[in-house]
Amino acid sequence: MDENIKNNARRSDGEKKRKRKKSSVNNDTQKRETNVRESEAVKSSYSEKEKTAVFTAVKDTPRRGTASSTREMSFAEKELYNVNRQKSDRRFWARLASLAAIIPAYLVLLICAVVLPRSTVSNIEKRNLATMPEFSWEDYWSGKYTADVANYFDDTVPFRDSLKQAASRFSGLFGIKYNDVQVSGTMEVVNPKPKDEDKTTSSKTASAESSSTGGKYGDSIANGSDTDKDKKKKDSDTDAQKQQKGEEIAEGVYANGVIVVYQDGHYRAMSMYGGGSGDTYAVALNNFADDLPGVRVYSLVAPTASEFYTPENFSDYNASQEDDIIDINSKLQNVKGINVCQTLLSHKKETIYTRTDHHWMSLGAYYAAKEFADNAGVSFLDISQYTRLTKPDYVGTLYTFSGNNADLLNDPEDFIYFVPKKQDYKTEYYDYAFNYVYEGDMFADIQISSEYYSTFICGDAYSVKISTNVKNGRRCLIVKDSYGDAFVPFLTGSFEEIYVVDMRYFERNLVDFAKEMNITDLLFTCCSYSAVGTNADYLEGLRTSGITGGIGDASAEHEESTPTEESSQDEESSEPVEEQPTENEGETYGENDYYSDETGGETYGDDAGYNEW
Amino acid sequence: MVFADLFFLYIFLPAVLIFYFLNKNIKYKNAVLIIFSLLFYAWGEPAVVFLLILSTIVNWLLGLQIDKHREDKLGKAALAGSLVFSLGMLVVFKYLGFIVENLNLIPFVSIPVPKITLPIGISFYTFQILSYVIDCYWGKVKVQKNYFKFLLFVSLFPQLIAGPIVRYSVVEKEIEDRKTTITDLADGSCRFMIGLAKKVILANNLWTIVENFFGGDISGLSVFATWYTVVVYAMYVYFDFSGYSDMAIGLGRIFGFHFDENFRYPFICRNIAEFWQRWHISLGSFFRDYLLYVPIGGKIHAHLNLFLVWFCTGMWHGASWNYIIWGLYFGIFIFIEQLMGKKRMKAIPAVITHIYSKIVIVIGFGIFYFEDFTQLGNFFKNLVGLNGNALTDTISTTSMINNCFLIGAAILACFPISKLANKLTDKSTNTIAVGQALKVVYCLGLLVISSLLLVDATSNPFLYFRF
Repeated sequence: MDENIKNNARRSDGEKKRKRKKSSVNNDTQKRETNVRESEAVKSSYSEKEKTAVFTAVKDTPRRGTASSTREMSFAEKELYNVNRQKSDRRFWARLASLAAIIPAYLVLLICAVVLPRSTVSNIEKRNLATMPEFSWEDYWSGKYTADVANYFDDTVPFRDSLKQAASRFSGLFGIKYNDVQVSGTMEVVNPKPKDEDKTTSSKTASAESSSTGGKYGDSIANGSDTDKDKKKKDSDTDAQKQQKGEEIAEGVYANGVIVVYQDGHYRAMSMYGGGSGDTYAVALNNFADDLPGVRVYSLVAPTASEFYTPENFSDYNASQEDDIIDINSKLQNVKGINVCQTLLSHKKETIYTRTDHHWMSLGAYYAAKEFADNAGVSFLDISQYTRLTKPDYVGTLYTFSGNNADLLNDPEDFIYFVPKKQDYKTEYYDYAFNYVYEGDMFADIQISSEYYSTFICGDAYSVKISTNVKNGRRCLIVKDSYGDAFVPFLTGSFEEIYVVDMRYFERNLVDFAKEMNITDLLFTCCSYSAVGTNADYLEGLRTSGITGGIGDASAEHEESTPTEESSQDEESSEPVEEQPTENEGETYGENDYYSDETGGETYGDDAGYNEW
Repeated sequence: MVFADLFFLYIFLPAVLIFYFLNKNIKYKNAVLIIFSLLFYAWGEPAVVFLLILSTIVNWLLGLQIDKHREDKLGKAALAGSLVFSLGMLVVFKYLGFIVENLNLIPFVSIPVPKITLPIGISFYTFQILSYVIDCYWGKVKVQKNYFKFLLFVSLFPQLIAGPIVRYSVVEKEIEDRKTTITDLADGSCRFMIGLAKKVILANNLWTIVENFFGGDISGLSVFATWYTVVVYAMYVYFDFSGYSDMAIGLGRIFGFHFDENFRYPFICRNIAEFWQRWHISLGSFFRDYLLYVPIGGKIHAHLNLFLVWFCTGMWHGASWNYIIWGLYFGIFIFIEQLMGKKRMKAIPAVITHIYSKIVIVIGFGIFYFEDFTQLGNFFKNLVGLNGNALTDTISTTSMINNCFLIGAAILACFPISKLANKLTDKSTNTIAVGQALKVVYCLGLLVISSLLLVDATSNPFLYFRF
């Protein structure tokens, strides 16, 4: 037993070691009468580590030192001995008590995290949450299965939305909101010296990858159709790049930072504009004009919100979009360049841009469309010919882009759009290869509030043909990015037929297509980001490659396509788009389809986000 | 699997704890730990777990041979075999791509660069195995005759994938028999929660700032922005890695293991040598014990040995030149400090040594961050304003003000405040309970906040995974 005490004393270290040894030596020599109980007490007080193994420890209640065990010590030693023993006791009890707090607290958290029903839908992020993956050995060996299981668990935490909101409130406590501006994302000073785009993109991807553990958005939503589309995008990208990749591309630089500004009683998020040359865009348009003699070609590059609402002290980070648009227009030959910056500026006080989304509002598109109609010399329906509709609680994409800014989330806006009073037109939806899909309403009834912008012609999911009652012999083809969507409804009183195709996704050869449809007016409209960025690379590809073939409905189409294009056709047919029943009228958008189509790419990844402009 | 993840915290961990404490038998406990450790590793690396097992089998067998043929040449051969095997694995899985890339720089050489994904934690467990084999050869530890105990030592999940590098000698006895005391359980869990908070609350959010400025092309950054970001980055690395070590040490204690400290407030150091005695101690001491004092170049070349150590230290951190430069950079400062001698170093006023060491460390982390040399060059230019950029800019000042409390908390956490608080409350018997109560409330608060932030996790990269 005494041996034991010595051993115990040896275990302790430093000064205490010496003191304790002394006292245990005292014990050793002098208290022969020490009984079992006393030595137990000493032992437990000196080395609860040894004695009090978990779950058995509780039985061995350590005892306070008694006078008998320290009888022969000097007063000072006795004091020290007693104090030390008391302290050890205290430490032990304090630990036991803290376990009594830690274990129940952990159990409560455990029950909250594991036992309570799991979330299935996130209303904040407007998406279905991850589901439990199905087991397959292939997935297992690649590590995908385990990753998905963990992701499922992390993604479907009970009360997810409330917890996320609480978390973003907590993150709001990290600092002071100075000048009412909050910054997120990389931001670069916009300076005129050329930079190497490749480098920027590669470092961006690197950062996107490094955060991939948290990229639950993409992971959980990603499914076949999405990757197919990505692949497709890449394919056409390389097509375009083969001819285009030269020194011009190296110039467009994005500042992908988002700022959130408090202005006029509301929060407004904006992406800073990094500037760029737009040479690719201008060259492509000029080539179109050359290939399509007799067709009036227009370019309308839409500025984004940062052009009008960036605070003064951030102007270093935001290039002038009007300068770039003027520059682009000056490079256009046989193409009418339309600059709507001044028009929009004069309406700055109206809701021409959304505060929470990277698009413009319907009203902004209206002023731009009017400018276009004036330039094209066609009639134009005044806004009084439209019914103003609103959808409340709109929080768009910039909420995510701003790193889930809580202020933005708590300050939703009204989504305002205009529907023609006289619905004397017909809207037909086609897929990207212009195979007929269905006839429906020009305005989709979008239920997911973050996706309200896709109200116009169902977003970018389809190619569209609109036949109106106008009889002026003018048929307009609009090649657009998502900015063009809001634009289309205002032209129903201006052209006989309007064809709308997306510059990024359309698969047909655009020159052939325009000729085939007897297009008289060809409008390229996109936001400034697309014009100076990589989206412009798609244009040359649309002109030089793509499916060449006649229009037809789905049945005829497959016959006409050349064998080489067969594979891309097949890809297309696997798109959920085609699964839409025609009688559906596009009203009740299948939620899943919708996500995979639209939001799949728009995750945290900055690059992914920009592709969707 | 990583610790800072809801799945680990609320599925894996409770499962291990329940099974582990079901039975008091040590054999049972060891079996539970081995099974769960392999599960833990296989969760992230379902295939590569066999590499880990192979590595343990080979080295365990060679360890037995070393012990058996202690006197004759076979023992030496076994040691050599083990070293070749372990280092060979490391070279193949970690450095092959890097080596080939560099060979390709030689004219007329073009070898296809192999794409090998780095098995998680290989640098850590290989070094643990090395320490066992060498110690075994030197007779510092007894050979482990039981394979499963050896496997437990290598695969023990708290330290498996991101350190600390636990020596066999440290856990030798505890593998045979150990007990978790109440103190271990309470202190271990508090330690874990603190480590978790360091990672989730501090490191993750500091990383967001770093990404904002260093994420893209940095040639346009102002002088202030560069300094600000690199300081934040230095703190990020510290909290990320020391947070992981804290979690490992805490978990170890819960299971009755007592690992050595891996970080002792490195930023309060006065010189670079001291910094490395406080930063990633398990790695520094590994190189010190197994490389520095081994007379590879003979005693005359002690200095050469020092640089070899720092070359290896840098190299260990990653297969890229910037890490090697980073290691040698510290080597140079330590060399200079050695030349100066301890006495003269001490004579310098504390203010100056603190400023000197902090600047060296912070710039060092700049080298650590930029793998790309153009970026690194820009970084150096930015530091002194040679890029012709502004001295300060709106974005970085806004970011600093937006995050002032976070950064303030991070700076405070670099100092041994908790140690001080512990000392204060431990002085008198009456305050011990108060101190402990405060600590528990604090730790539980951290756990709740960490869990909350994990729900919201957007980025959660463990930096030291790459090593």
